[in-house]
Amino acid sequence: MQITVDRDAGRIAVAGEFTFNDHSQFKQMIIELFEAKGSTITIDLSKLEFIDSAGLGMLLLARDEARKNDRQLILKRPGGQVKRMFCVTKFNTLFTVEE
Amino acid sequence: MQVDQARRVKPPPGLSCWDGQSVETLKEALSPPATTCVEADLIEECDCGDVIIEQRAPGQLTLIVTTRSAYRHSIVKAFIAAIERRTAFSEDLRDRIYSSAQEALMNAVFHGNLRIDPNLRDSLEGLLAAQEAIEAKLTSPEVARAKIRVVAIWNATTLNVVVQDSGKGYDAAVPSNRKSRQPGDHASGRGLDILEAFSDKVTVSNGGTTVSLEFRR
Repeated sequence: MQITVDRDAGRIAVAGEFTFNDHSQFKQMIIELFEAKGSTITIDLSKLEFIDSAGLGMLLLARDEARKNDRQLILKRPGGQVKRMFCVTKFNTLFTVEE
Repeated sequence: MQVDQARRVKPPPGLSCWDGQSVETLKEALSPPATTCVEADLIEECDCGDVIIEQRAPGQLTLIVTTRSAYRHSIVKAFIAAIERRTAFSEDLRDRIYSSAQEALMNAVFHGNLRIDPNLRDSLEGLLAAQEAIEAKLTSPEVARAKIRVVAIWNATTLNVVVQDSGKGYDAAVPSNRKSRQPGDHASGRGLDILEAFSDKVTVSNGGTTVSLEFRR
């Protein structure tokens, strides 16, 4: 998984595949949650091609960390397999997901 | 004696060896005409008789890797790309196979061979502790070299993927807590739901050490 961060805009874009192998990138994502400005942080998923249940779990942990810091995490534009996984796991009942 | 030596010098046709170094070298090792690909660390233990029997299936590919490599490399993606080089399937089927085989492999690595507590991943602290525990376990050669076997068998109408770990499995006498612990807001516990949603039939056998996934084409 590759991460691109725009701290001023409070946006983190992720690309590639988000799986159980991506621990170090996830740690970077958590650091960026604390560094980003604003009360709302958007994770842009439009370039994410694949996610597994470990990746979903890590997104939930990111959401919880954001809440601890009085911030809201929004997931934006999931597509393809990622959208399908969100549907199967009813992920949009746990997150704010924007198309 | 002469026969044994000849076997060592001349591996069965269709057997290839992966160096365990990268996904790129795995893709190369899985290239046709390979029908069984074994990681170098395990090649001495490979039963050539099994390899020959597996080759009798008309459409078949087997990958045998260590737990260490299954944890460090994206082996499922390379494996599915290798199947697709031998038999074409739709993007929809590719997504379904990849999504469910990845879950089965993750189960084999974390809960089968490494025996990591699934509840650990429900918090950031727990996730970090799990990663440390995994790295510590992988320093043991016995754990790091524990086998994971992934087999695909296909024909014109179905494609089956079997993922098998070397763990002890679960005790059938102990009732599963799956029904009492729905994932809900938890960060873990969605694996079986994903298997059932993406494949046409899921069979879990041998105390949970073998997961068979069937896909209609």
